[in-house]
Amino acid sequence: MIDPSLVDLSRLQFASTAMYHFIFVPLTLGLSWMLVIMEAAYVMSGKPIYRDMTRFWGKLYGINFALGVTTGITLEFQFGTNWAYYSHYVGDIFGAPLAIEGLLAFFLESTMVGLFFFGWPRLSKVGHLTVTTLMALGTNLSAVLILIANGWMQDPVGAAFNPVTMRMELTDFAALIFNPVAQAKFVHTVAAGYLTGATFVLAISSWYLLRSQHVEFARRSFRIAASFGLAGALSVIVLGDESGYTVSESQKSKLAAIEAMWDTEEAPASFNLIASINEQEQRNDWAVRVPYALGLIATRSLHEQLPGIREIRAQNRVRIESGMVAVKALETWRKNPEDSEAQARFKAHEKDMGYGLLVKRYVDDVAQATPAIVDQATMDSVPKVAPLFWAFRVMVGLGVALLILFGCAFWFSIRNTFQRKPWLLKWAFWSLPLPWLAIQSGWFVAEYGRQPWTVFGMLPTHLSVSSLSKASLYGSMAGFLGFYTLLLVVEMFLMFKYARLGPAALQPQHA
Amino acid sequence: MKFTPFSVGGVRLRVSRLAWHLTWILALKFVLLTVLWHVFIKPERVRIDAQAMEARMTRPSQVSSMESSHDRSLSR
Repeated sequence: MIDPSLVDLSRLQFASTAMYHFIFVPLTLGLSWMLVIMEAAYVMSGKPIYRDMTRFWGKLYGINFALGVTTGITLEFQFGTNWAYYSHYVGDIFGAPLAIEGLLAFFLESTMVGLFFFGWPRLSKVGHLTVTTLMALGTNLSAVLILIANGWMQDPVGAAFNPVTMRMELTDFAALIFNPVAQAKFVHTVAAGYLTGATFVLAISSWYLLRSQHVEFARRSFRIAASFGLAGALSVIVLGDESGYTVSESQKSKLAAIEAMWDTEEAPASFNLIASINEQEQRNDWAVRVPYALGLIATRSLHEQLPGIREIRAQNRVRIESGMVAVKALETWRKNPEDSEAQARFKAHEKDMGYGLLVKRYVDDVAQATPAIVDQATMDSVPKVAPLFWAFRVMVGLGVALLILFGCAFWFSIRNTFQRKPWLLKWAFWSLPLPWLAIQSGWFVAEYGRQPWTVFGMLPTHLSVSSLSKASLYGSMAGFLGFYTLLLVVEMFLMFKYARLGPAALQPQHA
Repeated sequence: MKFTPFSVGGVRLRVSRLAWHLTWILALKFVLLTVLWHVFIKPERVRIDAQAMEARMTRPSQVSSMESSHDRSLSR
């Protein structure tokens, strides 16, 4: 059996480094398109202030980009070092979008970043705008490929298990690329990035306006951020609904846990706005409910029923028992490839093999699994409810709060009175951390909600980890903690330094 | 643009100073990465094959919290 603390440590390390990396990514995603808008205004109007805006916000973009790259590279190494069994099992599929991301999207993005910074005196106006646009495209292309890989972990389409090589193999590349779960995740995630970029520009511009510094520069930046942010906030909510709909189709256990829906209700199911979750007794002690809302949002129908956690667990128990047959048949078949009976038995139960592997968390040989072990594996097949329930509500609450902020900012922008509303400027300034909190909550919902799987329904998390020593995991964790803290200090120092300077940061002495 | 003359195989070439510096930086970077790879990464290579995966998925596993023989290369 795999040491559970080894699994937990490996998960903690990946989760903390991935969430740290995701501090930088959304800002890059959003700010890149805002640079395109600012530079397009410069090319069309010829006003130098738009060029200065592009260069100033571009400088902050560059600081963020450099640190984002540094923290992203370690994640790719971790697949090999900490998740070697996972990499062997699904590397054929998971590796393809990652490789394309590195060779196509990241190379495009990083080349254009160089041209963006050093091309100002060498390129024509339109030439430089083209570079900025390609940089933004590269950033977003990078996101789509990463989310195709992640989407496959949530809904493994276009692949089949090969019992000879003991790994999943790609059978349909188009299914992998056009996986609806991946596409929904992509648009929802990049929209959240746009909202983050807009909040960043809005908050810093508000700070200048509150101090009556760089007023014309800040007013124009505020306006662009207000419009772009409102579009981003509306998109993130609408596309989040789409993402939720795909979850209701492909990961019913995640949806039921997010909604703390213990029992199957009559369609359309009600939505628990807030609830006191009693995980032990599998019920909510009390809940504030909105009738019909969940059923309508998650199924877009009045009649389609959503299964509750108890029903999902009952279905999973059947699948675990079927999967145990598959695992034993595979073992027999691999020992004797001529055994057609074992082969037929394996084929009959193959779709449930992943579920059978869930018992291996408690017993080495699945044939030795007792009913109590099967019960325990059944309980594990749905993630813990309370963390998902509350993380989801934090994400949605913050998304709605940002929509209201950007609605107000946009309204007062078109009335041209925002600079005379200190309450709005203070509100915008203090909202700066909100998109990051929302985004981290969103990632937690997506990844914790997939548990106990690394690849949903196929490969349990506890079978995916490398057999490292705990000492090496503690050592590398300490290394990451120290190095990443240093990087965060550098990021904060540079961001504060250049944000305080404002457009003066463009003077040669600050280059 | 400033040029620096240098010769390759008896042929005298003129390249810009920037290109000369970039070449040196890339060469140094390549050497540094190669050294880092050999010192830190290569000995940690994890080797998983069909047998190792089979051992984890089907047969009673011998894997403990310590490193097992099959998922570390023998070159360590």
